[in-house]
Amino acid sequence: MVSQSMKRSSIIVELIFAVILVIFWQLAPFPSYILPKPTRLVSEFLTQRTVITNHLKITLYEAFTGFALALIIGVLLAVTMYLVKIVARVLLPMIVLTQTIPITVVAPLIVIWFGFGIQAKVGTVAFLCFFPIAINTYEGLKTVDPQKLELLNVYKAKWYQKLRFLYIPHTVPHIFSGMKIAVTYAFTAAILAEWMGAQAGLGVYTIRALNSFRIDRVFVVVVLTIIITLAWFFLINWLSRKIAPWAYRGEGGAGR
Amino acid sequence: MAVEKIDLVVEKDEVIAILGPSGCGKTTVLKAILGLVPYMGKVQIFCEDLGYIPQTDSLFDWLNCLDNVALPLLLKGFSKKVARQRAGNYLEKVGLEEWAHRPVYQLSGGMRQRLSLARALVSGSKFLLADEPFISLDAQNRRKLQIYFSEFLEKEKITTIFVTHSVEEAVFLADRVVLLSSRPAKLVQILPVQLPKPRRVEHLSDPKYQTLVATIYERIFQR
Repeated sequence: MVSQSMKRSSIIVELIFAVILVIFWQLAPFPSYILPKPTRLVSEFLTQRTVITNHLKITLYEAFTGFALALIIGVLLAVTMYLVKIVARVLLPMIVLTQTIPITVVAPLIVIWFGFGIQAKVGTVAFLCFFPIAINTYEGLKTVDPQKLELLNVYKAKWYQKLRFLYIPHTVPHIFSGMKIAVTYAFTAAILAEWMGAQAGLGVYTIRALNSFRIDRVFVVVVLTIIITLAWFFLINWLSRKIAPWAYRGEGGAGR
Repeated sequence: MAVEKIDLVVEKDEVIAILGPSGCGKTTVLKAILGLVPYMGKVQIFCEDLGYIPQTDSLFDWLNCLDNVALPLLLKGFSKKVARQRAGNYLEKVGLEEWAHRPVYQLSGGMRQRLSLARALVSGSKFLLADEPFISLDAQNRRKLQIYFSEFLEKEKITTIFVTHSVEEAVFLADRVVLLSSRPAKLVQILPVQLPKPRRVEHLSDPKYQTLVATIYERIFQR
């Protein structure tokens, strides 16, 4: 109960802080071509609503699909690496290697290889997002408690029972940790991929806004990106608590 | 090789303590009985099911207390309903019925061990193997749980082999203490404990208890 009310009061503190920040922003004496005021952003968003929504839909689709793809690829890679040790030795450095290539190089290359279509954007998002998911899932699988496995062996558990009672419940919180990191890139990666060349999407919208010196519209995209990424992050966080409450046992409860 | 030759016949309803220094291979003896490690020689068991309490209690955080106890039955292919019903009976036996639907990570150390005991016996096993079952508890709770175990095993007629590095614990709980040397473990001596079961606090001041503890310490330090 204590932790509940503490949690609530911490949310209130966060909200107050956010409001103060926005007020300062509103009062800051900068000209609108350097830092447009929040009220200006809201009114600009309202006038551009239909245009922005159309672009937003495409970017959201790319980000979601790319993220889903990253989840599948990441988990599959981790499982393969866990099952076949030699694959882990070969693949793990390769996976790390993919992340050392600057994304500003990867994104245009993907455009060259896969064209200006939506697949290329989905690919870029997946390329960035699979990494934390794969690594976290792999670490999770490696940290399965050998004593619990032994206990299941004493009771002659079948492979699918081991999966059901040990591997999956142990690894799911790790997959969620990977997703929480990945989600912070997903939406930005989609915008960046569009930046390299696309027909539509918030990236395209941003380029147009920049080219016509509409800094206020650029800021609208920035704020939208923040809101969407935050919302997505908290959705995953919430799901993780619903699906794997045992991973949060440190919080509340009678303790050991 | 962790363990050299050990000959031991365990009688029905008997409580056997395997006593030896840390790392001598006591756990290996249990694992050989359970068939988890390869060994030479023969292990004959005249009962159907073995109950096992591993060293860390190995409870599953993602299952509630009831399902943790039901797990061995579920693994055997019993339906959820039957498994839970039987698990409920065993939860009652160890006095944790009110915790059935609570997560295991809310239990205290002693409760976790009782839950472990219920899980080990839920499939109707009358033969229990326990690896340092009291090791994670503080001194007071350990004594409390030892008394509880002694009473429980006596009432339910459970034949038990447990492993410990504590001389006092071995003598306090067992009918016979199997004293092992350090690695590779060799059988030093089997010492009978002539105290009535179940064991209670007053047995701690019994001269028989105290002499035996002293004798075992002498045997250990002679070597």
